[in-house]
Amino acid sequence: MRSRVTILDTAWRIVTHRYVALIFRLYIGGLFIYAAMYKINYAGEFAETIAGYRILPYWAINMTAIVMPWLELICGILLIIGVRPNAAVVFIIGMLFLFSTAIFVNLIRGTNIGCGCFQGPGSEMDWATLGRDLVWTAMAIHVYLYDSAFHLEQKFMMRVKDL
Amino acid sequence: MKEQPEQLQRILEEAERNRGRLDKKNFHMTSLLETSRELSGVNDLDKLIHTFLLSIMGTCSMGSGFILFCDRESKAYHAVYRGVADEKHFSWETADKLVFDCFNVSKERRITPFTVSTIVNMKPFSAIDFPFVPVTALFYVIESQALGVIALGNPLMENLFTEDEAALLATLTAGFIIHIRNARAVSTIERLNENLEIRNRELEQTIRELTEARKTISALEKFGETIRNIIRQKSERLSRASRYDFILILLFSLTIGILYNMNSPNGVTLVPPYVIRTDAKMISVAEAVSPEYGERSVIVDARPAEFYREEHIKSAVNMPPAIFDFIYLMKFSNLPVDTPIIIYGRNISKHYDEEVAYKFQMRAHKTVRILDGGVSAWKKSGYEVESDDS
Repeated sequence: MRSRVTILDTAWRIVTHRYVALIFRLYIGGLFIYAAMYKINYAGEFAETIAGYRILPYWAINMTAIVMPWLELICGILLIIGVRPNAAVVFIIGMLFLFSTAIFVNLIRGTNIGCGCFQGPGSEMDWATLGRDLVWTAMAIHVYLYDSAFHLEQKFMMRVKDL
Repeated sequence: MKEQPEQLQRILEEAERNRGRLDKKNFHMTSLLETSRELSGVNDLDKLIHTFLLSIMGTCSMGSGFILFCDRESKAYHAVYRGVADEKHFSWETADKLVFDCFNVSKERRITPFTVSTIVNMKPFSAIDFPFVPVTALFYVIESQALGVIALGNPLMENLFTEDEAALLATLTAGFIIHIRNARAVSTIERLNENLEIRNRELEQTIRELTEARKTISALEKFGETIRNIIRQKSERLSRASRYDFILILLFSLTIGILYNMNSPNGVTLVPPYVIRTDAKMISVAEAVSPEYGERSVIVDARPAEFYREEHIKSAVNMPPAIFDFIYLMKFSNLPVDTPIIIYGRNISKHYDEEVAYKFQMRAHKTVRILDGGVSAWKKSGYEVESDDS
């Protein structure tokens, strides 16, 4: 019983280790940078994808298509370099939550549209798409909770232990 | 019998002499007592010397007197004259030399504390042009570094200063040096007390300052701890995400997104252009089926094909904006421009009908209308819809 507790403790320590969070942070950051690159250059196409979800009002579609890829890119960069990573990952969690909700709503509606997560509309979304987004959301939450390694901003800010 | 008065006379004379000696002894004892009494309450060195000089001049019936006291340790001296017209002023070196010369001509061969010795030669006085000629002079030692000289002159009566007076003077001087020693001791005690008092005051001041300093240090430590806590809190707060971070990231994304979009060849307008440009009028289902339109009009479903396939108004032509040009070329190129065109198809995110209406207007069609309520209103009014999926 005791060894089981010890194994669970060790496993929990490994899972919540800051280097695991660092790996997740780099992965999520890179993913968002990659996802943003195409959409930034093809705002019209992305606007069509957003409209296909039938969630945002028509007057907000183009503005969202213009701003969201840049938000993804900036948050991805901030997350990777470790400058205001908490704020960046909160944005990313928010966006992933929105994407998951939008996918879920349209899966329930039975609308056959591409998810448009990376390049163009892509293949039609399914429940695996939603599962993938939920996994990414969990990774982002892990980053928010346990990440503390290699933050560039720590080089320029006084840390509590310095006091 | 004749011898008896002579014998009596001798006895009487003897008795008279004895009485005279006793009177003298009594006078000496009284002088000793008086001098001792006068000096006993005096602790000021100058006053002590003055008082003693006056006393011995009276006791020895001298018209002039001089007392010199030298403290070789502090190189200080007191020179007091009485009964002279022109007082000689000494320098320290002169006073010290006089004392040393007097020691040389005194009966003492070594300096012993609390000793008084008679000066047998008055040359040291005559050598310095002394203001009177001393009849008797004494050299006294209080301590090895505290010594002095007493000189008396100008006797008021001839042959009055006998050996008895000399002995009395020596005794008085011995008492005098005790008083000087006491006065010096009192002076030293007073000085020490004064120093002690000053030290006490300084100590009290130091204690006060230390107390103040401790209070200040305590306050500063408290202040420092507060500042440290504030910095710690600020630092911790800085490391957390704040609303300013969100606002900044959002504003930056917005700004750079709009700027990039303005300069991008693939940029889009901030709001869909048809929202601003189209002036197509809305018509109700009832109007759409009225004779004015009815059979004459063409119904266009502007939605994407997948929505069209799901459900559309019977006989409606599917014409999404993306393939408008192609469909127009295929089906509407020969359509008269005055044929009414009724367009429907919109959702919360996209007004396909307005976009297609705008495109028809651009091709000079005169009667372009948008069906109010789209397929839903059509169905609700009881008109037929169909699906291609079935």
